[in-house]
Amino acid sequence: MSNFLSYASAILVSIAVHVLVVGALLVNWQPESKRVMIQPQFIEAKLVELAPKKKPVVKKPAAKKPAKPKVDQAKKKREADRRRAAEKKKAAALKAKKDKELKAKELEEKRLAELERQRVATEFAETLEQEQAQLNAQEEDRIANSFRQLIQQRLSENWSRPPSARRDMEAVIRIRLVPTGRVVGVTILQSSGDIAFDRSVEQAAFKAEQFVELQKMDAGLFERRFRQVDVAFSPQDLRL
Amino acid sequence: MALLFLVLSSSAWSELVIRVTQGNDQPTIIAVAPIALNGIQIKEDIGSIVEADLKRSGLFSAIPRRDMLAFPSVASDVYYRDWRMLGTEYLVVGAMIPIGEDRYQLDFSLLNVTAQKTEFNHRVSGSKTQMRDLAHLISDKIYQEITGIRGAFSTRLAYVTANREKGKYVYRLNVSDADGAREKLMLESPEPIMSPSWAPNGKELAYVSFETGRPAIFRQNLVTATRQQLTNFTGLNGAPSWSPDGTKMALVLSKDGNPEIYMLDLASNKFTRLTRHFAIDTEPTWMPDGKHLLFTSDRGGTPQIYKLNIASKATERLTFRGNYNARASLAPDGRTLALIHRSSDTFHVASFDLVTGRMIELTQTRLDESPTVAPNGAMLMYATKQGDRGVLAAVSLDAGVRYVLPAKSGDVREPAWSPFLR
Repeated sequence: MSNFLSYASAILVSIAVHVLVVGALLVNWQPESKRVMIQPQFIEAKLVELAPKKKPVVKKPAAKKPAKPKVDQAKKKREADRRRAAEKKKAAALKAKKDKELKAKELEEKRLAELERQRVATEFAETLEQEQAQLNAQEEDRIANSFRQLIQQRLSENWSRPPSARRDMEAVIRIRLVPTGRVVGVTILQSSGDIAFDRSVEQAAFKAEQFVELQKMDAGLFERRFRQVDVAFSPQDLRL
Repeated sequence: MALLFLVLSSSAWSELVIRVTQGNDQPTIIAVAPIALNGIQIKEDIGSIVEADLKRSGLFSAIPRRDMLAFPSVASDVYYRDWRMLGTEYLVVGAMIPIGEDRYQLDFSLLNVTAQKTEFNHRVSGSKTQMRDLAHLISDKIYQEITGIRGAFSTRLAYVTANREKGKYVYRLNVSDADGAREKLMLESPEPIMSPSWAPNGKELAYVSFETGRPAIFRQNLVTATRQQLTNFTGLNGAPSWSPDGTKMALVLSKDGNPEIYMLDLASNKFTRLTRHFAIDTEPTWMPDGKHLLFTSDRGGTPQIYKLNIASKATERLTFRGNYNARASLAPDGRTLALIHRSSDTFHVASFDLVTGRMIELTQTRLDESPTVAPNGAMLMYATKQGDRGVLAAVSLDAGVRYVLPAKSGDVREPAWSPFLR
């Protein structure tokens, strides 16, 4: 009974952990969750390429201008005014561009940070899941062992050895069970070499008849581990 | 390669399997349904004889007939559930039919109620005078199937009775079934009869008779009753023991002064002296190899068991515990010795393991004597006192079971368990 209580508490703990993780995902990172999974690296590469391409375009006109100032003064002045205006315009444009770039960069950084956060979160969730799986497996082992102990004890009680039994004898049988815990078949996997000994082992399984406690077992666990149970019999309490 | 596979597979199992290392040994619960006789008139109740045989071994307990819900005689008539409800583990059913002039055939089956299957079907046949033989054969077959040990229910006992009749003692040498039934008189004498010993083929007995006025060793055929006197020396002529191959006899003669072990070649009638010691050497018994004898000697100050190599005459003391160990009778495993052992002034029948040196006291009464081991090594019989009368009792070699044979008139002494007769 205590086994089941502790099992239940483990389930509660695991459910609680799952709810927490899912909740955190919903609150913080829900909008990006799908996109991020698909295209993180691709976008990053495109942006890095874009930034250097724009800069040569801006600098080219500035390099051409020194050839024109030689024509005349008025023109020069006008030119200068125009240039100033142009420069102003250019500066403004540059500023706008810079602002835009900055903004993009900021956005990008923000997105990357978001990506990183998402990655960590995913990793964390995965680790958690793994740990949980491990915990579940350990818990299953523990439960399985308690049932194995029960089966062992019941068989021991029902095992009446013939006088021909000796300490060094061993027989291994396979007991087939149904979910009600009833023994439906016994086959000898390894004979002891002594017919009477082998029969006593078979009889022990048939006499045990039904392990009713197995009815409380999780159906999956029964299928995995208790549909067939192998048991080795070796009488270590005999005098000879 | 096969060995490797064996090692691998057994080591693989060692991790997965449940290991059961202790048991709860209980007598097997068996039900012997009455044998269907189909109108045949016989005085014996074969089912009851089988049941009694199995119960006497201590390894079985029986479902009483009055508890049975039905008396099936063939496997197809058996409702396993009914028998299972009674706690039955095995069920014996059988039926007899006439097959000729005073000839009857008995078909029987051993059914495993727990596993709900037939273990075997078997057939025995015989005349009306052989009904007890048929019953014991059935017992043997069932006992061997379930215990793994050859049954000894079809074996016999030889023993001596002493009755006081009209103020005089009358001594009789008798042979009976192992369960004490069908007693048959072999020899009657006003003088003591002692030390019966079976020939290994179970067809002859050797014994000591005082009928000539002094002890002499005789051999006698059980079927023809032909007798032959083997020794006629002055002094002691005693304790004959047939060799495993039946060609020789070890015995004790005191013709040269004090009791010594001799060997008699039965074909040539030639005697060979085996021991040479001023102490008493007596009670020889053969080891299964036919090359060694065990005997009792007080050459060390107290009676103890010694082993003698017949070829080299070398002797070796085997027992050291207690100040009295005598009357050795060897179990067929060649390793377990039944003997009379004295501890704190009481004589017990004890078993002594020649390999481990372990001594187990099997009986507690004061006057136990003459242990003789059954040919299957499961039980031994000995003579003891019940009130003021001598009776035969049996105990299993692990001291778990004991029983007293049905009382006969007078004192019963010196049992000798026959070898297997078939």
